[in-house]
Amino acid sequence: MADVHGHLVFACGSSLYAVPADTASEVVNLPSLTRVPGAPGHLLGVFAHRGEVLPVVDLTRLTGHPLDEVFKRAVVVRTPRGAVALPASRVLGVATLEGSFERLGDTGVHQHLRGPARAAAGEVAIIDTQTFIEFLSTAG
Amino acid sequence: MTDVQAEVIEGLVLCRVGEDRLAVRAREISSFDVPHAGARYAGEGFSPQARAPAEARLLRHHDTALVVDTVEVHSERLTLLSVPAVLVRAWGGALCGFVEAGGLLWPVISLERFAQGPEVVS
Repeated sequence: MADVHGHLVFACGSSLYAVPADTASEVVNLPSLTRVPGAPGHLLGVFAHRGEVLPVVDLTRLTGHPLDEVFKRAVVVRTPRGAVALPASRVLGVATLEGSFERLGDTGVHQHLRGPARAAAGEVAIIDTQTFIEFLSTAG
Repeated sequence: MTDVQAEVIEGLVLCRVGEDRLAVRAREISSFDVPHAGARYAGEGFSPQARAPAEARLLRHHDTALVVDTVEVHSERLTLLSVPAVLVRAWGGALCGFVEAGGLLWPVISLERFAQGPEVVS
């Protein structure tokens, strides 16, 4: 199956992820974060950006493979359900993906990842941004 | 698109809690006091093992009490920034928003809800 719309591909540790290009609003340098009481472990904190508070969601913790890496950049994903910043080790750019777009699992965050798709840099998990942010809103 | 008027807050108590920060509307606090046994320490919101320092302060409002490390009254008008959707349920829904003061971002909490604990409010 071929990708029609294009995705922004980024690396988080050794894993590659992609979000639909039309939901990736920008790539930002991460400032120091403000921790939030009661926030789940995958939510590293928040920062103010252009009059808005953006939560920073660590995909490595969310997928159960936490890293010690201190992330310096993040991809801001924006949907009608809200916006989040996803830390990235590297941002590889917009690519057309091929391969599978099936759900990668039936539980947890894996329900909101699709693939494995292929980009020039390797296998990519595509984040279903709409349902992903809904999932984060209900995940404890 | 709906033009939503941002809420402005006048009168906040800025609280340090270990390495972290919280803010409470001044009108939600009737007195500052010496902590007593059984009062919840705000640091629990950041780490279950957190313990209040010896010289902590107690924020009190009627039967509600919360222990913090230090307090500072901030009287300037500040814009309340919205809570992101993914944080609406954090700590039982105690988060009211965020303010920027002194170059830092402060989570603004409801004293009463925070003191009740992290159980999710439906």
